[in-house]
Amino acid sequence: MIKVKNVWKIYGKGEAKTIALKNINLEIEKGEFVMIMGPSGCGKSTLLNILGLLDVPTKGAVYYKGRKTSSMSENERAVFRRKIGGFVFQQFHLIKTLTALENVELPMMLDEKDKTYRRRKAKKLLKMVGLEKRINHYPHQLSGGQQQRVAIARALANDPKIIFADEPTGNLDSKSGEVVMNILKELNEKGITIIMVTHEQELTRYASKIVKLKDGEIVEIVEK
Amino acid sequence: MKIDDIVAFAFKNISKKRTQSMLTIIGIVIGVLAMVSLISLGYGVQNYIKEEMMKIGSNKITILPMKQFGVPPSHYFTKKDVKAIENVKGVDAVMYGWYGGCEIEYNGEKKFVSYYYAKPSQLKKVYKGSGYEIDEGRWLSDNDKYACVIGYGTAHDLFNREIKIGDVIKIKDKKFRVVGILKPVGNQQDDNSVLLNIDIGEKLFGNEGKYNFITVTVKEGEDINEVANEIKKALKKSFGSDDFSVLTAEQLAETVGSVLGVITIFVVGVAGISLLVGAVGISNTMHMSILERRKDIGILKALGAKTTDILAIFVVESGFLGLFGGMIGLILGIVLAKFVESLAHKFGYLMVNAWISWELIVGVLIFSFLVGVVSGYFPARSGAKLNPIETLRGE
Ligand SMILES: Nc1ncnc2c1ncn2[C@@H]1O[C@H](COP(=O)(O)OP(=O)(O)O)[C@@H](O)[C@H]1O
Ligand SMILES: [Mg+2]
Repeated sequence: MIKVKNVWKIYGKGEAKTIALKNINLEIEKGEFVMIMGPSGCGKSTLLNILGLLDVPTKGAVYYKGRKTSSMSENERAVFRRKIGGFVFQQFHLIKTLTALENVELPMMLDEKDKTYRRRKAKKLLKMVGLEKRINHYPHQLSGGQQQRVAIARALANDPKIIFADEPTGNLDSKSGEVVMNILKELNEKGITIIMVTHEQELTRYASKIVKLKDGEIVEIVEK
Repeated sequence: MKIDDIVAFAFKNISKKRTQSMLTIIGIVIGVLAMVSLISLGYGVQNYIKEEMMKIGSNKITILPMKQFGVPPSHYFTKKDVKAIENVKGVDAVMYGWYGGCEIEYNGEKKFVSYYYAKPSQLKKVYKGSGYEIDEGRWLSDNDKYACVIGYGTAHDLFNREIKIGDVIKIKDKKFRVVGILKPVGNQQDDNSVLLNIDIGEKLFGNEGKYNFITVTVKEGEDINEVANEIKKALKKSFGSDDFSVLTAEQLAETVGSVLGVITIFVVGVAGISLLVGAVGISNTMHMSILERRKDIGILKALGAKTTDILAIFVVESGFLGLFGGMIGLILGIVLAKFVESLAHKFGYLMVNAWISWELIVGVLIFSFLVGVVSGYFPARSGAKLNPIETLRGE
């Protein structure tokens, strides 16, 4: 479903030049649970952002279902992020001035869904992540684990095919982390492709494929 | 994103940061306040003067011995000119005389007033129904000599002790008995006045046989502009030059109106500058607010917002900030104008009026919304161009 061909990402020029990704080649099939692993600064987030069309490669190409996405216009990429991908971040990145319900509604608002549909769907999603009693809470009134579950509900709002998760358990205690991982696992069982960045070894038990990165290069791909 | 959602989203942002929003719009509030009160009072005065001029009479023509207001006349009308005007077809009554300023003495105090003299019977005829009406006592008669009628202000406001009918005032050391007091007309110059019979006035001020104004009433059914033209022709012959002006009430109102119009443009210009300062303020705060919300912009982009969605959210937000500023400024401006109006009325300046209309209200609101939109546009555009990865990294 996703094909990465000879992708490079280079920041800066001359002395300050950083090679974040070096000649990456990768294929991801529908329904996989992919984990991108490696030490801090090895390029995991950079790779995930490129896969999720939040960023563009310096060199090389990315394809989604045979379509070259790396050369799409900014607007076309926005449509992809809205309809096909859903992002979950380590820092949750909820909008602080909006309630849980409104945060989940936001991607549907961007997709011009009507109000009653949005409300219903957002409530359903929050119920699914076990937060039906917290829908009118603001982010600061929620624990980290709860915030991350809101973020997952938000990522699911427009029925994405792929979830891009950048260290979703990185800021959570192990118990909340497990809740989050179990939700992702369930989603994967329903057919949603999960691409997740982590550096926690014990989480690899959820993965169907592990991509190991070091200094911007793929050192190993493990299929399970 | 749909427009109603954009509006709702912008509203949410404004109401969540009420204090900051309030500070942002102070500039707009002050600008609009200044503009509304100045326009309101400017047009109010203009309208009042026009109305008053029309009241003075759509059948009256005023003839002055100079081409323009404010220029001292080089020569004056004489009996010959009066005769020439009296012979013009369509002319009904002709009043001629002099107006000027002088000092009057009462109860040991000396005050400056404006004086008019003309033939009392003509004065009465020409000014009938023009607001110059007797409040107390009687009108002058043609036989009166050392008698006078005084304005409302002269009687009640000018001196420590109010002047009553039968009291004596001194003009140029001559004693005059007050026989009548006029009703207030609303402007100080006319209310602080003294009216004399021409027979005595001429001698007193040493202008015998010279007149610095002539006022004519036109017979019913005559075209006033035509009569005015005929008067011009006749006067040119007898006066020997065209250094005079023949004004109908309408023209008079227009002349005064255009002078006030210039003043209005000036004050609106000043208000406009303060509004511009307000706009710079909004622009600046929008810029800060967008910097603060860099992360939100990144989140919105990650969720698939188009650049134009983000631009629209911020532009609408600053548009509404402008609109709110405009609303508050409008209300305060109207309150201020009304306050000035009531204060002025209390002191007898009936000409000061607050003019408020739907055009003014709607115009000001649209204008302040646009000021907000324009001042929010550039910071919003730079915000919309932010790279989401940059804004989401770190912490
Ligand atoms: N905008 C940027 N400018 C310069 N260097 C960057 C930028 N973004 C990331 N990098 C560098 O690229 C490398 C990979 O970063 P990242 O993908 O965030 O690593 P990871 O997620 O594996 O910790 C790091 O060395 C980082 O410093
Ligand atoms: Mg990272």
